[in-house]
Amino acid sequence: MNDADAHRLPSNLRPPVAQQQTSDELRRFLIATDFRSRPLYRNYFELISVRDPRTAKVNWADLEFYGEAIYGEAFPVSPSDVIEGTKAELTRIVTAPRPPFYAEYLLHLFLRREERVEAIGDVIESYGDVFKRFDKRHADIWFFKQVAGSLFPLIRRAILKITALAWLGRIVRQLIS
Amino acid sequence: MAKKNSNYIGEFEELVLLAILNQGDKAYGVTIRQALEDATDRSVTIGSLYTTLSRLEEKGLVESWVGEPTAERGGRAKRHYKVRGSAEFLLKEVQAARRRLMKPETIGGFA
Repeated sequence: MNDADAHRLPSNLRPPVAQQQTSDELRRFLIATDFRSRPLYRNYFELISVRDPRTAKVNWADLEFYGEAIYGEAFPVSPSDVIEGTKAELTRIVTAPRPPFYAEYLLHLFLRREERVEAIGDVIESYGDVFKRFDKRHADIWFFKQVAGSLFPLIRRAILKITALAWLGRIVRQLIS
Repeated sequence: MAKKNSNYIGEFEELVLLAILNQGDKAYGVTIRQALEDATDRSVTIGSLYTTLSRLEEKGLVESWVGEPTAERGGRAKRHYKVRGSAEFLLKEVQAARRRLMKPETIGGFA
């Protein structure tokens, strides 16, 4: 296999470009490396975001966590890395706890853009604690409960904003006419 | 985000401000939520907390900044919160008003 074909392999068969023992070392490596960005959730289970504190730019990288999520393998991201049919195989080998995809996606939908990353990070951190204390099933139930309880205030906030805008629009129309 | 002063805060907003004050430099979503749950003995969801935090920020009562990303959060950063001076003043006013209104004869034996 030559280097040009390396990115065509599923990520568990690709040679990792980084094997760091701590998250901090991994973060430093990722910041020092020029990773291309791509949207969140395209290939959720292997993504990590890395924010460069100097430029505040967020980069995404393929990452697989093992055990307590302090040992990771990082892969540079490029559009050709996404290979159809490999996701099942990839997710099978990931052992780090991950919350239910669609529940997290609901949060992603209703949270504001400026608070989305940090809020989801908070709930994932707490999910990891529940996972360690109990098991994945109980952690998933806890996560669903969090999402279900969060939807009402988030939707209410969105409706209030829309209502306020509609009300303002009506006043402006009345003033103009 | 537009900052404006408001001299009214709800019960949950007051609790969130107190939780941020208690947490000091460690105040971010998870620690604030845990402090609220420990203090009130009721479940607090991340949605209700973040809607309240954004409202407090719009009122100019708290300020926030983004910290470092960590692995246990899937590489996501933390948003830290700090109570502004105007909020501390407002909290003192609310507490004082509460003390003035609370009389032992109205709430049995309450000092």
